[in-house]
Amino acid sequence: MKLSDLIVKENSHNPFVFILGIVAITVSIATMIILTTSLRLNEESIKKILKDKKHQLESQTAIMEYELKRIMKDYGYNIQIISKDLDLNQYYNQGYADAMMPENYLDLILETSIPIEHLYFTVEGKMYWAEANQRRVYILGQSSEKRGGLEDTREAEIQNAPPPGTAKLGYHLWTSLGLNPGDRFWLGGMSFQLRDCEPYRGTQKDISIILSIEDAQSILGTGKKISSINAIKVYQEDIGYADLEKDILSLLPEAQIILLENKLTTMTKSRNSAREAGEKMIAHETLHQQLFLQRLRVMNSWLIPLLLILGFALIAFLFYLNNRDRRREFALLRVLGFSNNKIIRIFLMKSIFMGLLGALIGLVSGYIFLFYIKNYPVNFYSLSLIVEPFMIIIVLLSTPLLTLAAGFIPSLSATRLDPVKIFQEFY
Amino acid sequence: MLKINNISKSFRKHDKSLVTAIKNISLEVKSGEFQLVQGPSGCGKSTLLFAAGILLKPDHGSVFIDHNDTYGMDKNQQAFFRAKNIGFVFQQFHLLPYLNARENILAAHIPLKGSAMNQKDQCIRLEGLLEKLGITHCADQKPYQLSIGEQQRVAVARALFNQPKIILADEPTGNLDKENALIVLDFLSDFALQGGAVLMVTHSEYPVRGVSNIIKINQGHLVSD
Ligand SMILES: Nc1ncnc2c1ncn2[C@@H]1O[C@H](COP(=O)(O)OP(=O)(O)OP(=O)(O)O)[C@@H](O)[C@H]1O
Ligand SMILES: [Mg+2]
Repeated sequence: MKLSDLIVKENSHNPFVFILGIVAITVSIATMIILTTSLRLNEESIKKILKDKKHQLESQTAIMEYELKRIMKDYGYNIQIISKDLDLNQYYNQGYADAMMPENYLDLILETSIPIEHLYFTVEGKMYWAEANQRRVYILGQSSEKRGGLEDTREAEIQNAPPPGTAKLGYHLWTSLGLNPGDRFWLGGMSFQLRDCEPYRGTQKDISIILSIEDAQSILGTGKKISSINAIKVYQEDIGYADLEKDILSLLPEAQIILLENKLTTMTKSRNSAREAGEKMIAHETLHQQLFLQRLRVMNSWLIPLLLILGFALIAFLFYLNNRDRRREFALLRVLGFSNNKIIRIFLMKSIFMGLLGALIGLVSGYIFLFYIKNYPVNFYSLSLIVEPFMIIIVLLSTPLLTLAAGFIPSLSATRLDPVKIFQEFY
Repeated sequence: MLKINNISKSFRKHDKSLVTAIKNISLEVKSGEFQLVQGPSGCGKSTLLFAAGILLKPDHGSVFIDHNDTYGMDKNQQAFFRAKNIGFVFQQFHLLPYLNARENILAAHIPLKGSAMNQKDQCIRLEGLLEKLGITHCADQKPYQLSIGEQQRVAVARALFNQPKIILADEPTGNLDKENALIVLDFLSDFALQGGAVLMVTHSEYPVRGVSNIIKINQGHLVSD
């Protein structure tokens, strides 16, 4: 006969406390397992959903990027380079660029490898036409196209600049002066042959005189200066517009750049806004899910300890009640020469065993329940999703320790019983 | 074997007043002696017995068993000493309800951790005692399945199991019919005859074989005749 035999016999004779205690632990542990594991599964699935969404957005953006590149081939950026000193408000107001840049800026651009389909520059200004009653006219000097980066141009020139000594006149000018193509007229003391009569446009073009660059420079007295460089269809597949702008500005410190609207810029804008919207949506979703998880975590953070405390308090209470019923028995054991250590051991072995058994049943039933509610197929993969070896180890180690603690105080009170008093009571 | 030197014990009652249970009692029970303790109810007989059994520390005085100062030991030593040397028999039988008769007897040996007898010797001793006390037939029954007489015989077997040097009995026949009472008394007499010491509280009118001395107590004092 050993002490452990005594404990086993006692528990099988009076299984109520034993079973109730195990049920309490089982329920606590199973609930804890269910709560923590569902939180973890939720976290994982939310992480996965968000990741998928991000991935989706990325692939969508990539598709648009590809589209853009394709369009880039056909369109490219249209930009206008003007002097840094030009006030853009004034520029849009007056319709011409009167702040000047050095003419060699064009050469600087030509020296780069930036592929540009059409490249030309202008000299612009306003003057009073002395030979025609001091009427106010706009002078626009146009250069012919320069080859920018492209070996051989794929497209026909869009620019048709007048050669020196010739001019194009805006609609109001040639009609009011009664001039026809081939006629000659005087401007700023120079004689010009009318080359083209411009059609009616309803803009300030109608009171403009279009000359060659050299003529415009001498009439406006600007010297070797230019007003703007126009680059149409700047192909820039690999770097974005911002980089292009940076490259050019580092080359031309006195310049500023205007991006002219075309299909490419519109596409870029819509791509950017689509990505922004997607990112915003994901950020919103992330926040939302995080709040949800936060709520779950907060709930778990008090529910789990509460359950565990309740479970172990119940065990302590059961032991306490049980002790009262067993006072006579402990008194007898003392009389028979059982030391305090042995009596404490009776409690502790029992509580450790209860803890272990309860933890085991709790783990198994918790995981079975999870399988059931998650509707997982019973296979090794879903097992590996749900079951955490670390959790099992923690539970199997800590539960017996906790039940041990729960059983320890009642065991001390059992050793403090005075057998004499108890024996006297029963006489 | 048992030597009690001038012990006294008082208890504090619920109203805080002191009750003197025993006062300046000295006595000696030698090996082979069977001594009785008698006196009116409440005179301190049980108190004396508990003090002798290292269960109740006297206010002063000492209790020597086999030349050991029992109250000079620490708690664990006392427990082991009690298990090894003292057998108790009470009026109430105090069996463990979840063990059968056989296990109840064997439980007495748990505190000794097999240091006195090995498994086989325990078995032989157990069967011998069951046989002698005539409870072999009910050895596998739980206490509630036993008659009162059988229960007390199991308790006697348990008290004898570790081959103690002294048996302390508090009205062991108080609840028994004549037949069972005589069996129990017979056993105690035999124990004394074989060299054990017995100190027994009794009111019993049954004849007791081999009694060497009767101690009379009144209001906690020894009464000399
Ligand atoms: N634990 C205790 N607390 C308080 N008083 C006690 C305690 N044990 C005994 N007494 C008192 O000490 C006195 C002696 O009690 P004891 O039980 O030794 O008497 P007894 O001779 O065995 O009586 P009985 O023949 O009725 O069993 C009694 O007055 C009793 O009330
Ligand atoms: Mg008594």
